[in-house]
Amino acid sequence: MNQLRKDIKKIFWLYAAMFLSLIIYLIKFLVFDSPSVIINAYNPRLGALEKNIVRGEIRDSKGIVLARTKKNGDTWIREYPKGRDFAHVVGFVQKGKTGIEAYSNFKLLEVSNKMMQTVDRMFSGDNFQGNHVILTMDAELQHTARELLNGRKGAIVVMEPSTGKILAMVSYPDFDPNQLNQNWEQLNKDEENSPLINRAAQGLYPPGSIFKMITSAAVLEKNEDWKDFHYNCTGEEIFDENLIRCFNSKAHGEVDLESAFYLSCNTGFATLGIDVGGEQLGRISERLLFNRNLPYELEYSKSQFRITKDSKDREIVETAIGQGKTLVSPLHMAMITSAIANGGILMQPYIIDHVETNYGSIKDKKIPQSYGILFEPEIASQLSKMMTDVVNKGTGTQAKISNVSVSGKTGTAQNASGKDHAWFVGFAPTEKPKAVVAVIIENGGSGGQVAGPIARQLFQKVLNQ
Amino acid sequence: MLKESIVEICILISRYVFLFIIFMFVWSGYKAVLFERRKDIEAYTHKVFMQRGFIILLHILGFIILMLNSKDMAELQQIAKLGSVGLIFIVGCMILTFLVYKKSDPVLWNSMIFLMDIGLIILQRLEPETAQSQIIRYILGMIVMLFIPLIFKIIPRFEKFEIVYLVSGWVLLLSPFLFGKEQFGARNWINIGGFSFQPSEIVKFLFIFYLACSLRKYHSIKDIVLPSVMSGGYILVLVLQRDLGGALIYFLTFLILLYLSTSSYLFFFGGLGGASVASMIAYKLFSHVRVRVEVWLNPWKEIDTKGYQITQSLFGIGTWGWMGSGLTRGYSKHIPVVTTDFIFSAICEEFGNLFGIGIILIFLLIVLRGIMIALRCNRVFYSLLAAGATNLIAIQTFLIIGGVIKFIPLTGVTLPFISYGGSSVVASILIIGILQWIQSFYEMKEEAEG
Repeated sequence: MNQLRKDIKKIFWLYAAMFLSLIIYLIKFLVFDSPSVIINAYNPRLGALEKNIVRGEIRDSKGIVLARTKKNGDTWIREYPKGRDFAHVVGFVQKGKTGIEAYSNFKLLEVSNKMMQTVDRMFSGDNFQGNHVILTMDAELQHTARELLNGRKGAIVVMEPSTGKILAMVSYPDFDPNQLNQNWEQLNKDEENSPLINRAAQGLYPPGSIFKMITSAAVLEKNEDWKDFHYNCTGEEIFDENLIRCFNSKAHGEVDLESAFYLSCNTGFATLGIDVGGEQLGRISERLLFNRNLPYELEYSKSQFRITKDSKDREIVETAIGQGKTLVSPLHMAMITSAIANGGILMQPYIIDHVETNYGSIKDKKIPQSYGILFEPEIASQLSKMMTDVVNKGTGTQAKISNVSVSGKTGTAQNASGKDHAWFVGFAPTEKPKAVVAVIIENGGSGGQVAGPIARQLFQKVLNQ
Repeated sequence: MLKESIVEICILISRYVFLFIIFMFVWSGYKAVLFERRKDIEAYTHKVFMQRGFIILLHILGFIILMLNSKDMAELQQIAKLGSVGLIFIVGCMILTFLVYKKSDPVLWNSMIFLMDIGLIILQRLEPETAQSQIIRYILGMIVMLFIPLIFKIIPRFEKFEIVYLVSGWVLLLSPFLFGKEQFGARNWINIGGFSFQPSEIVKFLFIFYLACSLRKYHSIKDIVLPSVMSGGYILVLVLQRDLGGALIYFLTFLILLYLSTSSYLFFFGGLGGASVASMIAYKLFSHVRVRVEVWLNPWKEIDTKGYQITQSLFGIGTWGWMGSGLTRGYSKHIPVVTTDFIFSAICEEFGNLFGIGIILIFLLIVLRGIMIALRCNRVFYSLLAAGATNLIAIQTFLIIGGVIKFIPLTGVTLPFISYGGSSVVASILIIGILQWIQSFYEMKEEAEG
């Protein structure tokens, strides 16, 4: 009988543990999972809320209104004062929801201080006002970025490396969110330009020479004696039946890792690629979030990397110089650059800074979060030094600013659609980076000549503020 | 406009009052247990009466909110009528249980009545017709339960009828194959003269009676062969009837009673191991088992078909946060079978998740009291019976709440006392009846002895 009593007590603790785990799971669901669960389009509550709640505004970091709901006679309409500038990021509500409008749908419809608002409503008869969503972005910088694209297909991402704040993100071709209903059919038909796609996060491009940052990181990590590497560039060389050429077949002569980097010597990097091997390249790419989900809240595409330890040399040499089957998004390259700028630590990129209630109080303030260490500090600082050389004496001189040290890497990516894509990724000031910029101009030609100046003007704009 | 705003404000404030009520109810309940252990009878009685006060407050507030929200006179009258009948029922329960079950456990009664009242309010809110039939079932269950002491008095030695429990259990369990009908993909209902019920709910009792009888005499391994084979048979029948939740409840009940009677970890974990193997086989063999597991792992993939139920449930729980939308302000009607399997989601949606946690704590209080009753018995049969009865409530609650919050794969069982459904409500009330009878029996005996 005594044994039985002991066992019954044990069983009680088992039940207690089971019930406790229910409570813990419920709390965990509410705190961590539910914010992303409830914004699902299948949640009927959101549609019902829309009927008697005025959707909150979306504003930039300085309070400039990017989206608001206005009464037009008897109907409410959603207006986008900054029009095309924020077409992709802010998104729209007229034809399904996209961008911030979709991601923050629930927050925009959430009513804070419901009690006070109900009292107000008693007399005014107004609808409830949903919360406002405040972004990290800067409308002025965004406008500048869009003007710099100047009607060329491409995308720009500007990030603050120390926090992960996204300051600007533009993509062209774009569309006017205020004219969406009229142009909807045409926008969808236009497969050649696909204006609805946010190229900055969803576009996948061959990286070209900007991938040499990653190849270099692999070399720096694997070979402690990387300084001993020497290669004599003759402008082209055949590796495993694959002819690799430097830009315009220019012979760079005797190069080491650093000079091969700032001169963007393809044959030198092909040799380095074979040295480090597919396994090491694959491992580092995996760590840098290739083939993986990015810590990013809006729509994006996963970058692709196809080299493994079994890959043939002819594939490795192409990959090492950023050609081959590798594809990246400008956002992803901005993140990798931002980790280099930030001493190796990647801060999670984010766009939504906080929520502001109808009565002006701040809610859900986002605190910058580290995603993790992408590079060891020494590797990051060596890469940073090499990138400074690129701007000072290499292919990226067009990005140079007087009195401020700029670091970067150019890329001129061959592709199937015609002229090369022009890439530039970089940050400034080198010592204490305030901004990371990633620029791609589709079929723009030379990265240094075309994308470099755009980056320079963006750096100037950020640093002058 | 003004009237609407006032109603709105009342509903918003009521959320805090409901939370206060459940908090005070739970707190007084656990406090009462503590005072009882310290033999502080005065404080104990005080807490018990506080609990009763809060039940009545809950009932009145709930029905006032529902009435405030009514659209027309007819609806208002219907709610007022049900509310009054409900109030009489609650007070009646408090008095009759006190009179019929001498020296029974008031904390256990209160918990049961509280949950039944929540069931009444939320069903009236979701589907008024179900609330009307639910109260009839509550009354029916209570009447049957009030006869338990009489039956036990007439037949004093229940442990002698092992073979009766076993055989009648088999007959009832197999009956759906003869006069069964299929509901929600499970063939576990029978229909006799327009009155349909789920035999597995009734067989539950026969099952714990049978197990308590046969397992109480454990001396060596051969004593458990027959009960194991019989339990296995029951479980197999339930699996064939596609009543996975039922099968799981039976299995865990068997396992726990087996452990209690043998005190052997070997059997307990061996049983669990065997069950894992069996579930792997079931997973491979039956597509409906596979579907359940897949939907649990990723309901978002097929959100408009197989994953619809559980995702709708999660939307209900997640959308309004800790305090809920306020009674009548949620959208739980979009959740499929919300009045039965998913009733917990509706409670969390409208009363808030803190209130939902309170509900879990009330179930835990019931389990605690049940276990305390099992501990005080000095005959193995009653001890096992009480533990078995408590276990039925504990497992069923865990399975369904865990299922609707996606902690574990969903098995379609009802939430005791709250979910709409005759067999389940009556069965849950009878379980409490058995526990209370045992409690009452020992209290009286103790008193008689000195």
